Amino acid sequence: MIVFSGLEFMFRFLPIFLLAYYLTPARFRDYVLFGGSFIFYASGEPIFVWVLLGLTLINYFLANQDDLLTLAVLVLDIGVLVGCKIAALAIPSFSLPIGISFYIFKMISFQADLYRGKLRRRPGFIQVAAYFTMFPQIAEGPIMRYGEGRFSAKRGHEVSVTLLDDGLTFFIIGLAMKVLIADRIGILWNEIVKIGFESISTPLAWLGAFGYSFQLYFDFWGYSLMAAGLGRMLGFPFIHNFLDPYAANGIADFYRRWHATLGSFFRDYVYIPLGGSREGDGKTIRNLLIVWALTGLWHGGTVNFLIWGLVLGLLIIYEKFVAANLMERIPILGHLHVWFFIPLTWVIFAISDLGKLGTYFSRLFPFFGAAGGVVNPGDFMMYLKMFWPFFLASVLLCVPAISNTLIAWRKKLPIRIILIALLWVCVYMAVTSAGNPFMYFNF
Amino acid sequence: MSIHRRKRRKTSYSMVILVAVSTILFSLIGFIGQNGAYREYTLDPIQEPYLKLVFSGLQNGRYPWSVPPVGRKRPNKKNESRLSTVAKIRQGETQPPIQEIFTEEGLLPAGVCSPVMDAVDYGATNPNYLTPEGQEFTYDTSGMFAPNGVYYYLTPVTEDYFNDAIFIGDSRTEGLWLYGGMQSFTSFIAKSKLDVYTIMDTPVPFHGVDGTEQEMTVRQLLSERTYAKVYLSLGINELGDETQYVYYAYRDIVETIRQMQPNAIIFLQGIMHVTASRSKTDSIFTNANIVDKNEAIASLANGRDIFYIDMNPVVCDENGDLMEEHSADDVHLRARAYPLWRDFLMSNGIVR
Repeated sequence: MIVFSGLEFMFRFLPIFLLAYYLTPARFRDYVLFGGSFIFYASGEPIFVWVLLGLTLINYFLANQDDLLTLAVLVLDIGVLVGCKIAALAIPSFSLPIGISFYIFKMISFQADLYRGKLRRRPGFIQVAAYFTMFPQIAEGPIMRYGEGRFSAKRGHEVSVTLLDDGLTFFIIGLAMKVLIADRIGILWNEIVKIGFESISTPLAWLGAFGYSFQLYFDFWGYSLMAAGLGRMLGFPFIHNFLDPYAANGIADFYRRWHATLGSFFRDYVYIPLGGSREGDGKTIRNLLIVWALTGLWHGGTVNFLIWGLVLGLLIIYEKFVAANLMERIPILGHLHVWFFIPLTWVIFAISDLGKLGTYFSRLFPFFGAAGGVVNPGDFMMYLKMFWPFFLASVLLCVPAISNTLIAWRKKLPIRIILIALLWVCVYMAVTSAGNPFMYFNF
Repeated sequence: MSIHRRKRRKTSYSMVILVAVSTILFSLIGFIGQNGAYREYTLDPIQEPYLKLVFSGLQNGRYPWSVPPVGRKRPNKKNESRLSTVAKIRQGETQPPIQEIFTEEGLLPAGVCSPVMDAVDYGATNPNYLTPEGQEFTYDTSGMFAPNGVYYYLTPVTEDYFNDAIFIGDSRTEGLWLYGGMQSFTSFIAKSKLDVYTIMDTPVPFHGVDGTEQEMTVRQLLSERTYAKVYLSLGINELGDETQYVYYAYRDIVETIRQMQPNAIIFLQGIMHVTASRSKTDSIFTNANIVDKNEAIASLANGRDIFYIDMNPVVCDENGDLMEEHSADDVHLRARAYPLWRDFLMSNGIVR
């Protein structure tokens, strides 16, 4: 039930929830939202849902009382997150609770916004509880700020058929991106893993790097659109999380567009408090490295994530301090940075074993000897034949002119008919994959 | 505000209507057809929408207007596998109970990783396969045996042996085709996702030793061509089902193949084990489950013209777990390990 693209969510939880939500008077809707989100989360985390409840109570009732208490709550929040991450690494049977990296950050932002006066006084309990736990965002974000949610104990959330209509449209667009592009093109990476990195040809290694990049993008962007669509159905504003990142001019620009709410969290609550870029080059470099190290570790606890974050930090420092003039004079250089470096950084992101990571890079850049395994010389062509439609669709949707036009046309009937057809294809995928223990592991 | 600039806000409900209408339509079709065209599917109406039947049906070529099927109900794949009673008993024992029919030393001959159940007797024993009288096996014997203690003799063969063989199977056979280095001397028909229910009639790629590349069903292939050896490797996709369902479906396949290829030797290949890390953490992909299924498959062999061979000793450690170095995803061999399977096959042929 916790997976948006599954039948239980689409045809059981969501319709029942929407019915209850729409029938409730506006000012009581946050009660329904909190209750429904609790049930939603409990379906995926029957034990940890109580920790979520506890954190919600603590982060509300101890907020904005005095500085020491706020500090204690922040230490608790960060401690729980770090503790869970370490436990997930150290204890094989323990897996990271769903969404914890996201709602802990919401709680931190709530404490900080209250402390700094961005939120002038502590809102009502049920509004804050709904904010922390709301099911459209709890599993994978976006990391909305309390202020952005336009919560109000008096007015509640206004809904309408128009909002339902628009939200449904975005939900289907996101669903199609996730199921029909990301999940399909993700099979390529699984195949490459299965073969063993030592046995892939160099062209296949590059195809794999780009395939993984597209998988990650459409999975996450798709999810964010679903979350935003669900939010619209509930009367929330549309929260943007992806702003055509692959059209970015440079890596720094990329990360203002990719997972934008995470970037702005680190900017507002870490980078700027540390001084940002206002205290000289040395401090700026230090601050960038701190932010990127933390960003890496937020994504995962193994060393490769730290390396990933630091590599990005170094690339951004390079762009800011070394290449800035060059990038201004040669506009395409920024774009080349994105198209060349970003897929390589995703490879670091994808492979946690450093030995295997080295093997993969030796296949990407085979200047130091031949493969260690048996290479099928036709592997690149074989997989290209299988996956070219998904690569084509991915590239087209990365072009802002195309994706923005499609989104602008989403109210036109022909587009809607296509979307409806795509919806039912996604349902077909959900039905036929449900028989397998692994979504896209068909042996 | 100037009246000329007032824009009429377009309200649009068409998506709500499209979603509602199509959902109701599919749900009705599923509901009406639940005891008709979709009779063979099980559904829990509280947790699952009726429209699911329509899409399950679509996957298997059943349409709302299709005639209701007769025969075996397809098992609900959501059920976890329940080990057969025999396997449950065996799990608690320190020694396999049929130890006594092994050699005096009580050693399991190589090539048979799982204890074998009573072999099905399809008729008179062919003396060509019997161990020559007086033959002694000291260690590392290759053999497949019937309960009376006689060894049927698997022998090393050369590449030519496989010229008139066909390898049928799922993704593991696909891997053998890609990375086993056998393409020049044998034929393959395989695709990932194939299981005992879909193996005969799903169009899959055929790679003939004569260079033919064609998409066809196994049934088609076996009716058009004759093979002297048929190798069958299935099972990893059925681990979620109860063993008895898999057994009956597997037996149907073996009987069909025997009818279509009356003179072929049929090799039933045991399901390859998974790594220890997967076996310990998964509820379905466990080696206990695999051994259970392999026992059922092995029982279909008769040691005369249907043989059960099991390559697991070649790639597993002493605990029967697939060695981590041979697999990148805990379930499949990595490319560079497939030659081990090929070498096993070349050491374990039957020469009539």
